[in-house]
Amino acid sequence: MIWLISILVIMLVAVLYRLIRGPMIEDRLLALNVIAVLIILIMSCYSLEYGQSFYLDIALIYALLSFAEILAFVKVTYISSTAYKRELSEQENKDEHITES
Amino acid sequence: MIAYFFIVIGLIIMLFGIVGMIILPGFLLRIHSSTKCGVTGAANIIIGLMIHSGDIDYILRFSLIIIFLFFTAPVIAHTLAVFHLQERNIETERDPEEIEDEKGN
Repeated sequence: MIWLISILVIMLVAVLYRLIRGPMIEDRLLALNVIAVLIILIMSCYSLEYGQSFYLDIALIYALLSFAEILAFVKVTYISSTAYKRELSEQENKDEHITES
Repeated sequence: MIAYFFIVIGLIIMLFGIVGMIILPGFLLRIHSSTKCGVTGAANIIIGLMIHSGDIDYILRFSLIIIFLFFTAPVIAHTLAVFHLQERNIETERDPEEIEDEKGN
């Protein structure tokens, strides 16, 4: 199973290109999702290679944590961007009031 | 032997998904390619490993991982697509005037 682990690690390095150079935050989160799937596969191969089944528990918990992580990151980014837009519109309203008065 | 068949099929599907994710232009094209790679390729490789192990202790945990991937991958893809459409102000519906113009012609 070492050959399978090496192929998966090469794929993970290829996905790191999109993680580093993604023009928007969505691309980086998408690359993070694919990296999580690849790490799950690597842990599965590792557990079969060394004959220890508790590595599969690590893979399962990592799947759950990456799901929650991506959803939380999207939520936090959305909240902060809507707050920023609201601040901008409030400042524009203040400027309009000043110019009117 | 059949285990290696499943593993090689999964590796080929995953390779297509990752190449598409690197070279395609635009976010929606990339999300199209990466969800296929995430679900189908990973499920094929895990089915191959399941046949290769042949132990009930491994098979139960592998099937749990497959079920979890099948539930979470569409949710993440849908959330990211909705986030992209709302953040970048992309209009998904066409203008009614434009459709009427086409009908008139």
